[in-house]
Amino acid sequence: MAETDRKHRSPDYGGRLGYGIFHWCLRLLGVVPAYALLAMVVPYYVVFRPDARRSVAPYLKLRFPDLTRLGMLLKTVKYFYAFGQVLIDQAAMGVLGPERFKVDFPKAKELHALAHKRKGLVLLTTHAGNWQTAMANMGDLQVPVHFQLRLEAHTAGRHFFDLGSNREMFRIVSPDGFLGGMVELTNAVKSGECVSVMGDRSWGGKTGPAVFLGQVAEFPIMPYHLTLHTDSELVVLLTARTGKCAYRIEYTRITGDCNLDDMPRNHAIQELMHRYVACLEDYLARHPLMWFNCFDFWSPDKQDTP
Amino acid sequence: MPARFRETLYSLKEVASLSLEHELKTMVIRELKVDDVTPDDLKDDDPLFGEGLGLDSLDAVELVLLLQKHYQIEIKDMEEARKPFSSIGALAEYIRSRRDNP
Repeated sequence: MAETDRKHRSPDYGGRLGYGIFHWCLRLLGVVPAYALLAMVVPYYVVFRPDARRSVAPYLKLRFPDLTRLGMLLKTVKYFYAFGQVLIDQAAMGVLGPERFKVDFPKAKELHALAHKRKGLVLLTTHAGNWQTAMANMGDLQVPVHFQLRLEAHTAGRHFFDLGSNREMFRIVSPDGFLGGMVELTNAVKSGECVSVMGDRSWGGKTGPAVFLGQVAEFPIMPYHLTLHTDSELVVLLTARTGKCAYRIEYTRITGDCNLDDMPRNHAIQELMHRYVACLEDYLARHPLMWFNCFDFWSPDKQDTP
Repeated sequence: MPARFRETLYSLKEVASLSLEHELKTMVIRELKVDDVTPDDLKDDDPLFGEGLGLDSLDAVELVLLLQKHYQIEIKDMEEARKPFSSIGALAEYIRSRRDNP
């Protein structure tokens, strides 16, 4: 499991000290001064932390293939500033209260209707934008939601599970437990409840290839396998930052058509995976600095992650 | 109860319990599409996950659904699943205990 953590862990952006400094800046001065502090910190990372630059280079090179070296450096600065803003916004929710957050969810009613069919619903999130925002809003569904994830102690996003509305509806299922929590997740979906899983994390489980931003990357098979075997619905949720502590949740339903029923099971799994990747590429075309997997997502090395 | 009748009853119980193990082996191999393994190849105490039959966490989805569909048994969580999912023999014992104590 340590091997998994090393391969998926981004460079430590300041650690506990950095988190503490920004926490107190937020508490004493507010969000805008925290953004200003960020603007001073980001150049340090870009100039003095080659590990940080290397961590985002694979994505930026694919997303912006025509950049010069100077252009890549400037884009890296912008990327880290965008990433930092999202982290500050997450921390602001815990420090300043959830009422400071504005979340726009145009298709909330559609998601609500789908969840209340009680057919079982798999919510696919990604380390893009402020994914914790999407998760925290699931309390409004009024249906139990089981999140398969690891909550690390110092993560700013913990607040979302403490302060989100109707948090009594939330259950956390650790992917490190016996069989990756699949027993709980299967029971939940089969009971007509919701399950939230990450489309870009396999947690050591089986993966399948898909072309993503022009190169083959491995994606977990589990969300599609679970959806098809339980005959449930699958929805992709992505968030986009629209301003200071303001986000929009984008919703795409990728099941519900009869074409999947006519396919052999393994083809249907591939089809759903490709639909998810297409959603992700469309999102990144519009929000190119919102991809927050700060490691080489396309590395074949990832395949061997236990 | 006459001794001969008692002996016959015990033999029938033995046959029934062996049948459950065999039934589970056949069902697991067929429905989880395990290649190159027959029910006779699989011992009752061979591990199901990892070594032995070599199932993985994705197969757990189907195993949970099989239990619900064919035996009307729901295993609530990973802790409850740990022992019954360790081998066919353990799974059969679990099913019998649930039947005896619904």
